Amino acid sequence: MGIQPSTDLLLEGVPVAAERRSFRILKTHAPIFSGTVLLIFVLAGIFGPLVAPHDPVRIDLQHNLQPPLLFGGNWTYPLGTDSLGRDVLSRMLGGARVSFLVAFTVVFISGSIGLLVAVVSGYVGGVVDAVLMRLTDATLAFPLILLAIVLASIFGASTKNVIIILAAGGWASYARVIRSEVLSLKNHEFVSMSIVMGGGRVWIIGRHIIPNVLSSLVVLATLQVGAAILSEGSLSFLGIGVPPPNPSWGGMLANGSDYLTVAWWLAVFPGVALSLTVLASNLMGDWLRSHSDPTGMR
Amino acid sequence: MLEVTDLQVAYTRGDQRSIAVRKITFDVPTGTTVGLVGESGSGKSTVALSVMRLIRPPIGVIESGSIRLAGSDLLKLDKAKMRKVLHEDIGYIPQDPAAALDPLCPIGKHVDETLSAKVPRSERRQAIVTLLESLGVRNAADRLGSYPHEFSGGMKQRVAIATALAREPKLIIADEPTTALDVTTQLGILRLLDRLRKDRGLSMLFVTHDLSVARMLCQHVVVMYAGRVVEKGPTEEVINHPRHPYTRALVGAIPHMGAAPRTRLRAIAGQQPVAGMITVGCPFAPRCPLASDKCRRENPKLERYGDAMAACWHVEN
Repeated sequence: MGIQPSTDLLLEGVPVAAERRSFRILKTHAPIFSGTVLLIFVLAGIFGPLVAPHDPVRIDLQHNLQPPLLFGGNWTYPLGTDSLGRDVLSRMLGGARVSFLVAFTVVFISGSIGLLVAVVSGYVGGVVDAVLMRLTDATLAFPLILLAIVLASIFGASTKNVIIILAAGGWASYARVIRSEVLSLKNHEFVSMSIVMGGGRVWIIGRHIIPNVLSSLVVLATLQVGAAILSEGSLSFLGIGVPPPNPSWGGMLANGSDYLTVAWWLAVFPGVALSLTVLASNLMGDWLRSHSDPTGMR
Repeated sequence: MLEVTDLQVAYTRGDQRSIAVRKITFDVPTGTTVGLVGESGSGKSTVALSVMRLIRPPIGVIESGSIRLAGSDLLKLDKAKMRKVLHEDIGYIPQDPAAALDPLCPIGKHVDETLSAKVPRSERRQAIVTLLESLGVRNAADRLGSYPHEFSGGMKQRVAIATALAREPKLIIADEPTTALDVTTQLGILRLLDRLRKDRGLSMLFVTHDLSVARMLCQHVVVMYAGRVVEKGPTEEVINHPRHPYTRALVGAIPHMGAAPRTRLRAIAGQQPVAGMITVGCPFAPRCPLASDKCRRENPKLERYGDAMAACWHVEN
């Protein structure tokens, strides 16, 4: 009886270790893989519209639903065309710009607001903390889509409004997570040391608190890059995102899902691009986190 | 340098109030090290925190008394002035240097923080290197960019000491600075502190629970028990001729080199009362072999015996 459990552990240990190893390869090469993917997409976003073979919004009903290159299509439309005959490749390139613009701006704005709220709330505490955190709770509890519909119906659908809507809903999760880090950091002895050496609030926050929460912020931010692209997609799906006919990955994915049985390429290409971006940014975040820690142990 | 008079500090939890430090008086003469000795919970750390005004409502209140540093009453200063005093006049050496250094802040920057307002930028680097080297950090110039985790415990403590000393403060407060270190490193740090006192004329308030450490380093000791001073005086006098039964028990509890094998260590029976629990009589009475009815009724006051002072009804001189 006494020996039984340890044998089990030994036997089970082998496949687990093997699995870990293959995962580790992915992890150690994460910056190369994810960096390359992100770089390609970002470059596509910047220069894509210049090299795109067609105008992404030009309708050509004679050539609608053309299959991609290896599936009966030709070089004119390498990734096929959609139901209105628009070139999928050109729309992907145009969509990359919109999607990345939205994602990075949203992450930057909501990250900054979230960090500010978290640091003030966590460090000052008391009434300020209570008020800010109830505000955060309210934001988290409020359905983002509802907010988006309300704002879009008042101000109209535009890329700018998508950014505002997503940032307005996105800061709360940063505030929540980082505030709890600030709370634990605040009681660290090195903060007391700084007080004892005559450091003021602003100094301590700038010198000791923010650098120590930055790694969490970066991890959250990279996760949010993917989430923001997806949210932009669902907004576009509802017709309150990036207004048509302008391309965005989310919008293309949403439109393409209607044609999944007859023209799979409409949903698959933007879908793959989205997934790769999300995966790459998450791996990047993970790698950044482990390498931003000077002890390099985590 | 530092004069603490009738200091009383209470901690509050909900509407409960427990007095952690009860009307204590002592001073730290310029150029000496004064040891604040006592068990855990005797209030010694509270005294150190009070001097730095780190006891804050709603957790704790400094109820009365005065703390004078070079003549000015710290308890009467406003926040901005107190910050200036903390920055310029008081250096703090922490108990656990591993926790007291920011893991993301290179060690050079730690020292630089305290030095920054005083020394011009061009000379600062050299000043930091000189200071660290004088504290026994070798190759300091190459190590300014290192992070705290790349240093051993003893080296971290030297960095922390450098941070405390950088502004050449009037008073150093050390809260059990060797507790987190291993024994050989402890000795090195203690020797370093003693050398600094001699070379620089430092005044130091040294909080410890270890009488043998206090004997090495301190010219005076203040023995605290349950928030009160039970005995104080020159270290040799207090340790060689302890008047208070508590001090006597503490001295008796120091393990000796060369004791016969398997000799039991002498401990003090019972436990120290929780802060503020005993309101009538001598707080040590429940554990005291000499306790009489008078001890349980009336609290003894500090009386002078030779060079030292003790608070006990049973001192025979």
